[in-house]
Amino acid sequence: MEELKNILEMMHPGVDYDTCTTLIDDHIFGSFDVINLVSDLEDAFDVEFSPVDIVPENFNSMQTLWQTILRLQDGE
Amino acid sequence: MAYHQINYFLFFLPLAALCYQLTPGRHRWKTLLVFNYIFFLFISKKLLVCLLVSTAFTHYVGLWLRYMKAEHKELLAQTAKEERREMKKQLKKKERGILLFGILVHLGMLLFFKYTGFLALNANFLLGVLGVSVKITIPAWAAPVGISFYTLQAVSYIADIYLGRLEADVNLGRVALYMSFFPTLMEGPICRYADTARRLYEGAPISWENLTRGSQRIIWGLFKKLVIADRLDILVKTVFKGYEQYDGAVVAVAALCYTVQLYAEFSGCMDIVIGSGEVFGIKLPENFRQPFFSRTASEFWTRWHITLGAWFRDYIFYPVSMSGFAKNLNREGRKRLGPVYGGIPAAACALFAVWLCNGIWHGSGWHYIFFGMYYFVLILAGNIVEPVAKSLSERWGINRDCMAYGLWQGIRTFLLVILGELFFRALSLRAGFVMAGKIFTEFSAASLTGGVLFDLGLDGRDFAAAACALLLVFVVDYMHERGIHIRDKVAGWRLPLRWCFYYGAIALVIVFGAYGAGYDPVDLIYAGF
Amino acid sequence: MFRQHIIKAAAFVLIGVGLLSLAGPVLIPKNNDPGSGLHQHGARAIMVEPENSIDILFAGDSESYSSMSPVLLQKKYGFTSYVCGSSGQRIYLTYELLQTALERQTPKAVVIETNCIFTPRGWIYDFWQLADFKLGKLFPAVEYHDRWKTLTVSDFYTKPSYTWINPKKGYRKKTAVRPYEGGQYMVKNRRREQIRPIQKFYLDKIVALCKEKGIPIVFFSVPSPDNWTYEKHNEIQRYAKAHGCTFWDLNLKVKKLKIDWKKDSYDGGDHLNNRGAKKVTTYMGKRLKKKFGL
Repeated sequence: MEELKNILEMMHPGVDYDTCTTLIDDHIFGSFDVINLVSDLEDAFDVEFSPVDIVPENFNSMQTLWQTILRLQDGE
Repeated sequence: MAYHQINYFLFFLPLAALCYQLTPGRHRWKTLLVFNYIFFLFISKKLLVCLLVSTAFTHYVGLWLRYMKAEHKELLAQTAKEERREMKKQLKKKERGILLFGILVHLGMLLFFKYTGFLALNANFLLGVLGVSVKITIPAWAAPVGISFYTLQAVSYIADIYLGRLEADVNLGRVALYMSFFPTLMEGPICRYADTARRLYEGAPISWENLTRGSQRIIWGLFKKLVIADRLDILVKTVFKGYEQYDGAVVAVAALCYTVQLYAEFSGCMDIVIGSGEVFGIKLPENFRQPFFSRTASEFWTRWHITLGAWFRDYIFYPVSMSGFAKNLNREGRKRLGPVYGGIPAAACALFAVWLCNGIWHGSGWHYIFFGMYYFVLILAGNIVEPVAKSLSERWGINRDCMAYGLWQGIRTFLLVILGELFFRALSLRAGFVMAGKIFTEFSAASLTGGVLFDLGLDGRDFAAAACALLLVFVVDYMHERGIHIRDKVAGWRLPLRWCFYYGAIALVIVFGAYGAGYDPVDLIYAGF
Repeated sequence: MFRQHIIKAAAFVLIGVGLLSLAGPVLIPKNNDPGSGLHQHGARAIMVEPENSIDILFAGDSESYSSMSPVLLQKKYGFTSYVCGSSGQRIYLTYELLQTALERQTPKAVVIETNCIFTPRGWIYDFWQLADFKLGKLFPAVEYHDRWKTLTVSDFYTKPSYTWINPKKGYRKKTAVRPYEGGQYMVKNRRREQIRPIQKFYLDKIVALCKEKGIPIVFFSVPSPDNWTYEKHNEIQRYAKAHGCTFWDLNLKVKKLKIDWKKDSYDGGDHLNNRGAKKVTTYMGKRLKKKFGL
């Protein structure tokens, strides 16, 4: 989780990732950011995202994103 | 028949609603389906066959995928863990084959109806250049109404099943309803199966609240379409048709008017459409969110024709950018160009695909493709410049959150949008360039004061009416932006006051609408795409 | 709850209809001059003509008013006439105009240009057009909504009174020239283009109205390559015969009339210009004079 937070901080500093649940809905992360983020996450956590996983529900908060990563990790 | 015409909102819609309500609950969906097809018949007659074939095909492909997926799941469960990954890949390939087949058939139909003429025209040109004297006769046939819209819906249905977001529906009736709900037939919004299908099939009774709220929204839509859009159409038509004889200032006014017309027309039509859906208790997705309050071109497209943008994002942008090629490009790029710009090449590929499709989707014509590329460049440039602008403004101490900066961004975006719509409306790409050129080289404000504006088909009173109506739209949009909803406010008023308000609104449409003697009827613009 | 809603909805509609009806007299044009905004003002000025002063009453769409000149008829043949024509006139409007005209006039014949009996699109479209027309008649506020542009205070309390006399008696002179370049368009055959139900209904009403007043009907069709066909000719021929009316198809007399398609049309074969109108008017005048002993 800390590592995830670091990645997010790197991309967009100054956002309170512990509480924010509208990262996508409020356009904090645009579609360009999402692509970069996915690429970072894939490298950092050894997972593979597919288009199905790219939905606002998964990316709107750090928590849901973490859940998604965990799911992808043991999904295989 | 079209949504802004009396035969729709005074005859067809009430009749459909009445029959729907009188049908026993369990059979309501059938009534609805019949009315969907009657609506289609009114406009496209025999071409109803195309919709029926499309529907049956979509349903079939959905089920095919569903059964195949179930089969594959079982197969996977039986295989040893080590081989599972390899196996999964192979099975996925098979599923992808069906997906592609489904998409290609739909695209084929779309291509056939909408682009044959365009392709033939360009083929002839190419043959001419190559010195071949063979000419392909350019076929001209009508496309089924809304084919651009229902095709996208069908593709999203199949793709969602493939991606596992959706379970294929066994019920053909539900798929048929999803593909043909009459308020959405002509101009969208492009719905998703998960959002509307179940509700359409349910056949919930029409409630008083839905009926009144839906009707109110329809009146607001008619106001925008009839008072603003159809009035401005007169000027727009005149200038875009005879653009050679007008100078830059007049062309600029016409471009501005067209942007306003398109907004009033399309968002107004959406109000009628969503209001009609509301009558039946169907919550259709919004297609507009005050687009002219956008600060950037990319934000504009999250507020303008939202469902189309979302469709391209979900079914083109992300799939392309999640492809192996784009992922590698992203990784490589960031290794070489650093974290700030490294992601751009990969994203640019996906973005290019989106805007090429967006341009082509709007119609066959090079100016539409140019329109798509225009936004591709704008949005890409926005993403490249953004980090620079950010660091510069930090260094110079500019507060980018203040109102003045926001206003500057808003105006800049508005002007860029107008320029884009100029090409969009132009009779051809060449005409678009000539017109844009005039704005930048032949602009003389003096020509506006000389009374030229009154020679374009609108008199002073027309301009005044359009301007007042526009001001009203602006105020309402501003309130929406701040989360104030007029219908809720008015609903809280006492009855006499409330009714006066409604009568006033209706009177505005009847009196100031640009319809009847002296006005040419204006077809819905987006229904042509 | 349900009953309450029905009552509420009915009340809302009724009050709305009442208000709309009240707005009618305000918006309706108060005179019939060209600037008044009155629709079909050229045709409606027949209401200002002295009672029983018209010998021949013409009606029809633009084909009628661009080809028949009552002033010329008066000068050449000495009988009076009036053209109740308007652009894009449909047969139900013809019926309405004839009803109004025949209240004050008892012409020797009603002469109808036949193009207005046929419409270019299907019966569904006809139906909606008729609905629009009826809605406008029911609520003048809808038909004349655009009059807000010229509304004055006096509009709120004055009643309409028509004073403008149409000097051309319905004729509209066009002098431009755009040649018709196509060839022969009346090719003899036995097919018929059916008169559609709505048109038939109102045509029958016109026939009945004239029969009741004892006025004979003459159908005639002005030369117009853009509009007229042999199929239409056959249909009108049949209808006229069945109802004891006369039918003169001038499209078959193009040679005799000496219509020169290079010079006699102002829009490439849709309508005649003044040159063509003179020929047609002269021909019609001669035949009408002979037939009705004017």
